[in-house]
Amino acid sequence: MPVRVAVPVRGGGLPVRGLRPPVPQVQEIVFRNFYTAFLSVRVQRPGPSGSRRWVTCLRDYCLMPCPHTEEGSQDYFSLRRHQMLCDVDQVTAVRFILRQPSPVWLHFTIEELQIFPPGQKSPQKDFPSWLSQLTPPEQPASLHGELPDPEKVSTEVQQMWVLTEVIRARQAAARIGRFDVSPAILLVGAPASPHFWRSPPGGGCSRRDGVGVWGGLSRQSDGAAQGPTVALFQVDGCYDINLLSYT
Amino acid sequence: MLDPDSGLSLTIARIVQRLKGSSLHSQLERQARVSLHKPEIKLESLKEDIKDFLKTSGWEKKLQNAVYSELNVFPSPCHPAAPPEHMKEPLAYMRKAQGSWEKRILKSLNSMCTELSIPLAQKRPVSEQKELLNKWNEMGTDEPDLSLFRPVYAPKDFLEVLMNLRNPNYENGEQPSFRSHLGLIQVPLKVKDIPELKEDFGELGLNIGQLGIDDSAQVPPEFFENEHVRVGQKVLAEQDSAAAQQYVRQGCPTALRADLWALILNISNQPEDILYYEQLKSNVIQHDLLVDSLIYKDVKLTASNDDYYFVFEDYLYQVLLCFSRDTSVLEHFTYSSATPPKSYIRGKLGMEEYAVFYPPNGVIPFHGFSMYVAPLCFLYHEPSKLYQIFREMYVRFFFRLHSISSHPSGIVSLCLLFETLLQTHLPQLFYHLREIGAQPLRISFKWMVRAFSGYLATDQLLLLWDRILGYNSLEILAVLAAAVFAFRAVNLMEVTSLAAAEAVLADLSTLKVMPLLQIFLFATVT
Repeated sequence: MPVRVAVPVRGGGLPVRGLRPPVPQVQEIVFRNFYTAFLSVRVQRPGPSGSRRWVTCLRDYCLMPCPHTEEGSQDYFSLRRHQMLCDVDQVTAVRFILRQPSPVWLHFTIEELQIFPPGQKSPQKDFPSWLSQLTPPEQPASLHGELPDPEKVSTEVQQMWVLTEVIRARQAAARIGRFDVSPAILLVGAPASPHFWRSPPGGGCSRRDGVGVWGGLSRQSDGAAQGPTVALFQVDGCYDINLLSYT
Repeated sequence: MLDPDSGLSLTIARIVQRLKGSSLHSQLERQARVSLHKPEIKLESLKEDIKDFLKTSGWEKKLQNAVYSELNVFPSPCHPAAPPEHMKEPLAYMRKAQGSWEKRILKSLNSMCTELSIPLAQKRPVSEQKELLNKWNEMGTDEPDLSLFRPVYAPKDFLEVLMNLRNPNYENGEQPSFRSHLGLIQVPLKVKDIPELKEDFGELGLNIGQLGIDDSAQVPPEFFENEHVRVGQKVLAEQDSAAAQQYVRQGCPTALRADLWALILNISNQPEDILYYEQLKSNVIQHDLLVDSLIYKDVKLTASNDDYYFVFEDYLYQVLLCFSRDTSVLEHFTYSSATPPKSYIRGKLGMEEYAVFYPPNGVIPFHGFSMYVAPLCFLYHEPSKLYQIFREMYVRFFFRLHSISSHPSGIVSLCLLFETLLQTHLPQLFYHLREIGAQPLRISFKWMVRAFSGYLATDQLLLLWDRILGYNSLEILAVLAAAVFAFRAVNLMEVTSLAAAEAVLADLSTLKVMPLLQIFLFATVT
């Protein structure tokens, strides 16, 4: 079953749900930016001796090329497996570290967070018959280095066509529920040295050129939730989003 | 953001989908079928032979031009998770501002409608239809009573809206600080500075020949002009859109301009296009719309009073009245931040089955709208071709000049670019004008909204529009506005009021745009 969580990030948190044993792998992380300039992602994985370690899988990914201006400020982003610095299998927790060095913005966060495991593509739809009649591409006479590989491109056309259908139809996949995040931590300094302390309750990510780390995940019931509730999120002292099992 | 591979695939899928139903597709199929009779097409290598045939007969080039046109017009595909309004305008507060601006316009239109008790649309009686058909080529002689009509809005109303645009997440404190902008626009959009503009507009550099500079009487034509014309003729012979777009960056020779612009905009004036125009004409004859009166009023107020354009009054009616009824213009609303107004058949308010877009093309003309068409009348005399060129230019460029969006060619970005350039490179002038209450944008806004049409001499205006087409961007309007201020800086430093500043900048008809642009971009000491 797909793991798909929409995480609007405003408002306070609600109490935690239980947890399930962890299995998951991460294929893709999709979210909508709201004035975050740089994003780092750390995952917690089981270490060699059974203990769990934090590993940085994305470091200072630039979302806003010019943090004082609007470019990229409300755009949608995808982070794929192959962009990550480390292996993202057997992940038990994911930590998002948001940075916004510019003091001109009042709030910054990321919204509509969705984490997809591998093998789960967008729901299969009936795509037009002409797509299945796509002939395999012939080898071009001369391959310029700059041009993309036609084979690769045409095999992705099918998948992308399905995605365009999804855009048009905009039907939601099975949802688990909506989650509120109350960012509760202010981290000053390099994200690699996580010393956390609680910020006053009810605060958003402060705009003082700081780093916001999410905390306070909780589950809200969503009237529009469809399908069985699968992945549940554990809140571990208001810090992290724990990826748990899903059937 | 999409990573490059999937972005490319999405773009390809979208272009294929758009071209699939077009007349070009059916023509290519027909050509391929016809070619089967030719001796050089062999059954064993059918596909290759047909492909070669299409290449040699020039049809592949037509397809390339069509693909290039699609790439230019439509923005790169959004992330799959993004909703459609994100492609229109990514910033939520701008969408909201555009929505409230549209509500205001519609309220104004509705109140005019109820005041004058004129329906938004009605069918013409047969006698009136016949009369209009007879008078089609001389609608300018008509003198309807338009005194009760007023334009729905003027550029200065729009400027007030833009001045009040604020990002709720931005520190808009009362105290002036480094965060507040000194000009009228207070949204922190990304605009280019002169080094970036120099790179973007590289072909306007000092060591590259330009029409508008190097074709003046003092320069012998062997140096640049003859060669440039020769290259232009070659580009036309090749019928390559991308090459034409690159070519016009250095200016178009007057004799070749009409064909080159048609090539860049991918307008070929096929029989079906002429037929489509005739159909629009018959729609005009059969139905009378309220916006027709607005168009009449606008043409009478602006183009008819202009020394250069009054001769084209009849053409303007023929183009603009048909434009209002053209539903293919509705396609551009997928990438424009605007939304077409909806109306309901009388008595069926609120029922979606009876909802229509009003006007049929979704665009409500404002004061000065007809000036977008007027300069094109110098180039095209055949109404259907003139119409298609105007429509294509509108859905590529002009719609951005009267809607609120964060696009780099949108009017908000152009205003901010103008103010930033002026502040950075003429700080004394900017400060002085601000102190006397003559914010520079108040004067230059009307130039940019109209793309300088009606303010520059027509040959200069066409040279400017060459570059708009060549660079596929309207940023050059903001650069020219700043260059004009730089040119008249000495006079402007001596004025002491907004009215005096306006007087200094009232007459731009003697200016030569290319030297101004070149000096401002490449020869100003930074």
